[in-house]
Amino acid sequence: MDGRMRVTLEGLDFGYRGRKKVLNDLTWTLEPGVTGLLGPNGAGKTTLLSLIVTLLPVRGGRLFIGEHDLSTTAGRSRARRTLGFVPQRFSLAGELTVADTVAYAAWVHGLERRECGPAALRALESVDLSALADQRTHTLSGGQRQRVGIAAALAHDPRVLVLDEPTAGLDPGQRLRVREVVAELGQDRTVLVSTHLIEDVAHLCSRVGVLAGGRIEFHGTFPELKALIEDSSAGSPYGSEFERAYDRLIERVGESP
Amino acid sequence: MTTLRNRVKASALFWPLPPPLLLTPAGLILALTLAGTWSPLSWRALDWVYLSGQIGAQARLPVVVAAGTAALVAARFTRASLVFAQPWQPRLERDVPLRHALVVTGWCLGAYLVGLIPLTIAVATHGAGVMDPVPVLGALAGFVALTLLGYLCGLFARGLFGVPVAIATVFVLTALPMVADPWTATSLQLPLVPFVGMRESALLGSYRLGFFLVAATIAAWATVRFLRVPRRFSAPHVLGVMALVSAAILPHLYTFPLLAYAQDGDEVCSEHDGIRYCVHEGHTDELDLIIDLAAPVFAADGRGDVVPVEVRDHGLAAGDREVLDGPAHGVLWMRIHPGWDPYRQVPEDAAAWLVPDLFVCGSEGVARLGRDAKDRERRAAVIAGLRTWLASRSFGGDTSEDGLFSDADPDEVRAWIARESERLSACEVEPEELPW
Repeated sequence: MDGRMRVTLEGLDFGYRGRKKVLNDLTWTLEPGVTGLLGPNGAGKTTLLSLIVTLLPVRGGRLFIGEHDLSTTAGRSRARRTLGFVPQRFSLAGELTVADTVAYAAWVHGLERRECGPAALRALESVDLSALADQRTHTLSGGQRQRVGIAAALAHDPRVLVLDEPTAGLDPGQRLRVREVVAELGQDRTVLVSTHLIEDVAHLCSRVGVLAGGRIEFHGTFPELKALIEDSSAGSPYGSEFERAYDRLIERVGESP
Repeated sequence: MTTLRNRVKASALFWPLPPPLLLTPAGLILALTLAGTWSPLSWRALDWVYLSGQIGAQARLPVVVAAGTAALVAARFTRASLVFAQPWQPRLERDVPLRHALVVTGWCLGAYLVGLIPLTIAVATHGAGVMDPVPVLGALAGFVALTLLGYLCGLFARGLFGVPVAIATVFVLTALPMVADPWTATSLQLPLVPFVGMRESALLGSYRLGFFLVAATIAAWATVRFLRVPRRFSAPHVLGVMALVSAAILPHLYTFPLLAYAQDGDEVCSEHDGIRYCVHEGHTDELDLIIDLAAPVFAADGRGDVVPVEVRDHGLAAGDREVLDGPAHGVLWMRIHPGWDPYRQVPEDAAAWLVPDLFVCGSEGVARLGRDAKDRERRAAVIAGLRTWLASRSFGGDTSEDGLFSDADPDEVRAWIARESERLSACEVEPEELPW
């Protein structure tokens, strides 16, 4: 069975109570492989990720994880077993070992108790942390913690993996290692990576979406995005907010090593 | 990783919590329970009704440990920031708290019950009567409910602060019966220690059982609801708390009967010197000793018209009225309870039957002979001295007291009692009048 899944967003609307809409008629399809999500602060990236991982309810439009419709309770419930999510900030229980943490996460994601140990070892292997399996989590470095987070999200073998700023706060060496892991994972999964770092997108994403003004204003490959950025100096057809977002992107791309 | 360690961790006995987090409180609970029940192991007159009450009473400290452990587990393993406690994870809402509660309660309650085994064996070996199931079930339900309450404290506090909150809350709840009897309806402690022939009132026991079952249900429901997205204290939580508070207040508005007479055993009787001695069949082992200790006291007094017609085990009583009317019918009721000391209680009860209470003297219970003693206190000293002397007859007159009767000859005392009977009853005899 090819377990790879698409994530389909159709006319997605979302607004927090009493406030302006954050997502506005957003339509996008995430294909298997690694997709980057870029966008300025406040563009709604976190809201979009929260909707995809079922943390927020779908109120307007449709959102499908594979065939699971997230606007229904049953759909959300089934989709959760196919989802893995690494939030931007998360904590680990210091009294548990790395393997215990990942095994616990596998169980919370729905695996049976007896399956959790082997699943944890597999997940740790895929993020190259097998050697630290018996180590307590409070002894880990930032990059190692991030990889434990990814392993925890992977242990139940989700078809869709969502990563929020996975390399934020890491030193260049750790960032490189996390990127390698994510790139590897994208070979047989649908992976969405939200990031501010253009280098992340450039090095590991087969496709990229740019969120601005509550919509996906650009969707394509990174070379296409770069070409668009270069053309934008001649005048953008996408409106002022998008241009400002691109201005920031251009600056960051220019700063990239 | 070593295979054995992995097997232990993955064992259903611990999963998904680290074994030390469960073994440490379980060990503490076991030690507390053994310490609390160690002394009763050598007690006389142990019985099943007593054990039924002890299952709740001995849980007072263990349940505090259990609640603290549950709070610690909730605080450490359900924080929303944890990588394995994210709201979208399928097992978080129901399976996780259920599993936590199961293993924490299982280990803590299991350790507690193991700690009660020696006392249970002691009761099974020598004990009389039958187990009273209502207080036992109430105690077990209470243990579970208070442990879940601890879990809820850890959950709501969203941090380790929940642990002292849970410990303090559960400790106070279990200590409240010491403040007022009505709290016993919503606590583990029985208002009085029941013994053979008595039962906790069925109404009170049933109310406690129902209260704890409702409390456990509300705590479980509130936990699941709280773990739903988003995590917050909501109106239904307030309703749940109000329901529990209302249920806890009811016993303060309606006074439950505390104990009931069970009338659940036959009597075993023996006659000695014209006095009939009857005990509950469960106290048959005590009968000969009671006769041996009481008969010399009655014989020392010598007044045939004053000694009781019957010495009767309180376990045979049918009600308070019968006990209160005992003296009018010449019946001396004697409380034979677990841990009783017949060598002290039987002589004292027998002597107290023969000699009037000190209140007759109007000395407010004071009996003394010093230079500044009032007349009524000096007369009271005669009564008190006589009582002590009579009680000492159980042991052949050995008394360490160097009092008014220390040099008295038993025959002389007997004659003197017969002569001064009426004045003794009215507390009119002065110490100087004693003939020895």
